[in-house]
Amino acid sequence: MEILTNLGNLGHGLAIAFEFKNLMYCLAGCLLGTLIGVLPGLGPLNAIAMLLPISFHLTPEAALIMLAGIYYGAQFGGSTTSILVNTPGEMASVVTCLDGHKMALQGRAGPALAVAALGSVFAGIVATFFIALFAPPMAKIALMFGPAEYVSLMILGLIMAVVLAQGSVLKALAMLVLGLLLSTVGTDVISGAYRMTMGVRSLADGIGVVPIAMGLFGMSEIIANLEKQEPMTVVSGKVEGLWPNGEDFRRCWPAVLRGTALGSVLGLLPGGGAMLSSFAAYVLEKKISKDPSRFGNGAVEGVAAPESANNAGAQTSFVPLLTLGIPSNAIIALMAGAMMIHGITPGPSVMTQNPNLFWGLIASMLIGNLMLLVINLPLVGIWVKLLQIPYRLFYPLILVFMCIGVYTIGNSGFDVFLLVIFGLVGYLLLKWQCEPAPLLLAFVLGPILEQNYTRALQVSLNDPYVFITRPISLGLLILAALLMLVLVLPSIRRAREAAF
Amino acid sequence: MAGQRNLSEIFTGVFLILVAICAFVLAWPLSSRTDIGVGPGFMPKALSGLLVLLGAALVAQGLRIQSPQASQPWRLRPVALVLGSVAFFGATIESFGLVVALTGLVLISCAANPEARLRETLALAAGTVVFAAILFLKGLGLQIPLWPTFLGVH
Repeated sequence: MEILTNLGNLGHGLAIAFEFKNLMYCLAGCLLGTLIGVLPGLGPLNAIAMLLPISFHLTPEAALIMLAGIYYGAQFGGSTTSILVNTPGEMASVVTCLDGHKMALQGRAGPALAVAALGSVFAGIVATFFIALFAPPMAKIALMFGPAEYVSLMILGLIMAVVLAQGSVLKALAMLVLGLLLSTVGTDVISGAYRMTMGVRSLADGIGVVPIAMGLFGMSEIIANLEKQEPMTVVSGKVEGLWPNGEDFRRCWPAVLRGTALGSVLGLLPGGGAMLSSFAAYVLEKKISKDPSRFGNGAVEGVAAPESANNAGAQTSFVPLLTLGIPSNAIIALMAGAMMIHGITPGPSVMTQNPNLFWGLIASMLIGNLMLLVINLPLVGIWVKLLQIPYRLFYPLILVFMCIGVYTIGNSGFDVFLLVIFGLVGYLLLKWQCEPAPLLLAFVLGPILEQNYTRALQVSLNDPYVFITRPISLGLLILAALLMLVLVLPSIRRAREAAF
Repeated sequence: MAGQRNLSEIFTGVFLILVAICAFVLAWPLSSRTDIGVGPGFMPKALSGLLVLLGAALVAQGLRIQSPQASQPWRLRPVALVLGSVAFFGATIESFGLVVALTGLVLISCAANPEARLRETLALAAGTVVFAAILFLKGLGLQIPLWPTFLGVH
């Protein structure tokens, strides 16, 4: 019965997503997502951060439909650059370079692009139904969560982010604490006291998530690209013969199925999302293949599985946000920011209080994926042309968008200076090989964590053991402790280093 | 490079310790405990303490482990000019308006790239200003002054 209700709701969502205005914003999001996915050095995180201020002027449905389109659209576009240029268009397409570019060098760029796009569409559609069926029961469980469970769940999510970060564990942990520390700047919700604002009025509301995200991920990237100055080489010649042959189809459909399943599940995990899914799917394919040596030499499964997985993972990573109110990765954290700008608190109440937003967003993914198939396959030539625009004309425009975006959030020049500061910090962290993703996630989770921590203590009359006497909370904390333990074991550490 | 300390870890550690000390000093006047539970100062102080520990651990690790690869070269020009261009925008947008702020932003940021060509840069700046004025002011209706406010033109 419940399944039927949910499918009915999905139908209702389709009606909302098909409203002309929402359809246009969905298309805009998908186009933009493809664009930034194709362009190296500009990922969904930057694009969403840039558009966050503009989304303020839209309805909440249109805003989230567009921002979501950017996230999963980027998964489509990213594969194009990986295959044709051997530079990942964005992070979740890193592994696609391995076999995708080899296929392109063998003159099979067309089938590689087609497999990536078809796999993504399939995964996207399956993931949409997965969300429609899975999110409502999860929201019901979330309603039973008290503040103590939320604290434990967020701790687990943050530890996961450390596990999944690239490079040194110690650095990732330090970034996490730095993010939490930065999130405490501003007015304390409980006492109303100004914390560490140094008398600056603009800091009373805390440091904005947009200057931090754009500084750490956008500005630092631009500076680093200017330092390198490496010319890009696009695989020359036209992309011909898009259609994969029978052999390709036979090899890749089981890979697409596995990638979709893996991506859908990994997207749900705290710390999960598109990037984790694509890496895991590639490793899995290589493990179960009868002939692992084909991987890295143009194996079609090596394109199909991760590309399906990253799209599925991108979409299902909305589930923790919409049901628990906890963003699982940095990109979803910005989505949480977008919801909060519109006065909607992410969490289990979204489904009951804003059903139009909830179901409209999910249904828009169905439409968006079909749009993306058209945007990416027949029109692939246009995107390839875009890759030939020299970077020197390009980066000033990115800076312009970032500056205007940051400025218009609060009409304050101070935010632009914050952007400069975090641009510098981001550049230094890049130089020092510190991955800033845990920082951003911790920054967004920080206030929610602190509020729930204080509330849990208040409810239990200052009993510090409340986190371990409630069973669900205890279970989550044990899981987090196990992860920490696993992290320091040398053998796991080595495997982790090999994976990233 | 034998004998080379792992500078990136040491620098990260020192940076984090400095940030933590600043935060601790700023959070010093805030109370950690109130009669209803933890006070506003508790989290900042606890976190900066933790950050000092992590920073110290990174410094220790950096001193112990030898760096496997030589550090990448640092170039001042891109950093200074890209950051400078954004700072220029921040300093001018409120009183000098969009035209001045954006022109400066594009010109300064283009100078960050040694391959920049003058004519191309000027064209880019002009195009950007027109494009931004149409998209952001006319299209999206954002409240940004176009010309210097002290001139009284709108």
